[in-house]
Amino acid sequence: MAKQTIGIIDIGLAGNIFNIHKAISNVGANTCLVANEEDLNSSDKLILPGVGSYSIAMEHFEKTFGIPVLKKYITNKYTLGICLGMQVLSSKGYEEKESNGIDLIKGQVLKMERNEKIPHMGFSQLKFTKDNILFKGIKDYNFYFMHSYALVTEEDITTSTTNYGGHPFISSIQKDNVFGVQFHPEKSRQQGLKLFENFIAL
Amino acid sequence: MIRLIAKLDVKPPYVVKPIHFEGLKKVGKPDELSQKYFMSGIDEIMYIDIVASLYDREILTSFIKHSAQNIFIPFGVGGGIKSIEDAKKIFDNGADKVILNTHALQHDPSIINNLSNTFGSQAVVVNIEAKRLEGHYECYSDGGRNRSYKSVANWVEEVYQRGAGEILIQSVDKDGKRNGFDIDLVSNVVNAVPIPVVVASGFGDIQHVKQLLAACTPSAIAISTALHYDNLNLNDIKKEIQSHG
Repeated sequence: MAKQTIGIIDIGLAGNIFNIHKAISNVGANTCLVANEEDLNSSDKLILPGVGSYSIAMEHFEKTFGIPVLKKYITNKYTLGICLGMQVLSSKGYEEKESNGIDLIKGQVLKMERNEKIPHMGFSQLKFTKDNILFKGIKDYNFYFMHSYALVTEEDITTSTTNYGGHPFISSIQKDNVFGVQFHPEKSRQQGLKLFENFIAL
Repeated sequence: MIRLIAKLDVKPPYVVKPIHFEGLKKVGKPDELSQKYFMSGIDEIMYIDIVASLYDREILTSFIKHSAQNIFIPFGVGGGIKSIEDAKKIFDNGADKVILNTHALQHDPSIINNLSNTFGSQAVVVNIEAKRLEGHYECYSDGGRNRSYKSVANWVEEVYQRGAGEILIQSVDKDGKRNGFDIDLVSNVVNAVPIPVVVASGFGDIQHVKQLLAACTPSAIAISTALHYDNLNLNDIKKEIQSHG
């Protein structure tokens, strides 16, 4: 079988593109940087990477693709949103200022309120609420988190939660062919690489 | 869970061991050591080009890229960062966080706001090199060479207000000595701000971790000299950390 091409969607100033490219190459697929509709169309699968801020990312998407176009491709291909890349799938975010998201998930992204240091940084454990094919064959459920905001949704799409400062937040989701993880698989050792391998195998 | 971070003080092309922030000794290549510490189970790597600001040159990205190439854990990079463009270049070469000191401390603290607004606070670490003077601590830059006349207590509050997502607290007096942390210094910083604090300078053995954790709960412990020279078993340190809950 020919190698797949995983399109990493350009998220503007800070995308962490290099690290995701590195992880995907490590598990045997090609990557391309997605910077227009043609790239969206030609990629086998899509990754929405995430470092940066919600409003800046959305402005970038609006300018580069237009939100309806981006949404169309995300809905029709296997897509994995990472950290901010998962958060922008929601309806609204409040980082810096209130801004509209891609609105694939009815929900909001809110600053975490905890009696604990924020940003939440470090390896933390996932607690599964549903089966999620991305975690197949993974034995160590500790993944690396680096965030101050978290997704809140009423939709029944949460596949795992993680505790921080005594309260759980959503650490992974799946809605049809769209997956999202709040942690950084590209920074989570072997278990992170395995997750990418599972994504490629879909 | 408290993270264990390998701190690489780099004077390209080598990782060096600064003793007391002066007198350098080569200990290896940054890419090889990054790979080695990743394999040995370290949680994160901080790479600091300790001469970029001093020589007033840009940070050398090829060393960063090579160091980032085969590690799948967070990678923070500092040295000579003066602008959003500098930071962007470093992120493009594999960094997840940028580490600021000289420019923010000595020239323009608003770089902290700018980077935090652009890349998110979780990607902005402020490195503080503290030196004990009579009755208080002052912030230094360039490996403890240049004073700022800013007190650590005030600077810690300021960088937090400006949007730093993390503080790396180093002690000029303790660095490289492996005889324990400056507990007074670091516990004050840990307790002063609601953002994560990485405690560095002084790790020698597990007793020092015990002493540290009895006084405060940092978010991470950075190790450099002991990691380069001793055959450290990171699992023993992790067990000690776990026993503190």
